[in-house]
Amino acid sequence: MPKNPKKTYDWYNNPVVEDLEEGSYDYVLTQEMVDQFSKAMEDPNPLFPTIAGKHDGPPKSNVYEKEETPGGIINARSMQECFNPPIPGKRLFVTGRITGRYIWRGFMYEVTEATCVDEDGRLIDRQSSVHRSGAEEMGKLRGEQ
Amino acid sequence: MTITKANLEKGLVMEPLVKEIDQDRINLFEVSGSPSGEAHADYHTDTKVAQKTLGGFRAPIASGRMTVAWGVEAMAQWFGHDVAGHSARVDLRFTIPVIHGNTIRVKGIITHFRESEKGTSVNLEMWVENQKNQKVAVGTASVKIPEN
Repeated sequence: MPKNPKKTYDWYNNPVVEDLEEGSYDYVLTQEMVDQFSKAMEDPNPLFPTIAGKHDGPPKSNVYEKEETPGGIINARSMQECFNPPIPGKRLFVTGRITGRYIWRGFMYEVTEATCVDEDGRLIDRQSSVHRSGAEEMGKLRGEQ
Repeated sequence: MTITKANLEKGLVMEPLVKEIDQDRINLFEVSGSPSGEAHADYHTDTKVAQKTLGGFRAPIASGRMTVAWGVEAMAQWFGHDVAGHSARVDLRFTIPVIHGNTIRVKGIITHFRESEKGTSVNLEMWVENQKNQKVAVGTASVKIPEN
């Protein structure tokens, strides 16, 4: 967990690309977490239960106070790069950064990325997401999904 | 059928991965990623929160990460766990929410591949459809099949 108090995030003035070293964190991937993921996904042999950890979120929220975004935030895009499947019982170390920020068609977009390495130095995965403002727009989808 | 160098073919359409979506499993997905074992109420798990934060949308929505996880599972089904586990890349944009009661199909088609001394890089167009054949996610995926 970060040692310093959380900072206020200034969407317009913060650097567009920013390492979030202070927000790095670690945890043990337990067999219980893997079993829960397996059941949730109906996948008896899941390769990357770490996906559910949404690793690119905490490095920023560990450093910055939660900011108000117009209309709320929703995940517009996610990417998973797989290097070595994690081993239950191993401690995982996650470092993250903000890799981009832009406005398109009136919505604010932010790109975050996180890299996960285990206690033995094995590169596990890299996760990246694009979050955008305007989650409320979802309510316009009235069709039956 | 597992795709190897021997049966690799441009334009090959992959066998869809099919999943029934259930709110209990959406909730469990959220818990499984939490080192504390706790999940807070949000628009993935709570109808009232979903309606409030998603402009009146009628139901909680599955995390986009679940869809990505199904994409990784599909890559393991198509190329084998060893190949997918060490080289799969899945990149999806979310176009329509996935909710309880949906049936989704992860689909893919090999768009191109390139052989080198280190292995064969395979690129796919990947998309996910619901039971109404609406695309809920679109994007790309890739793997590298090692030489040996």
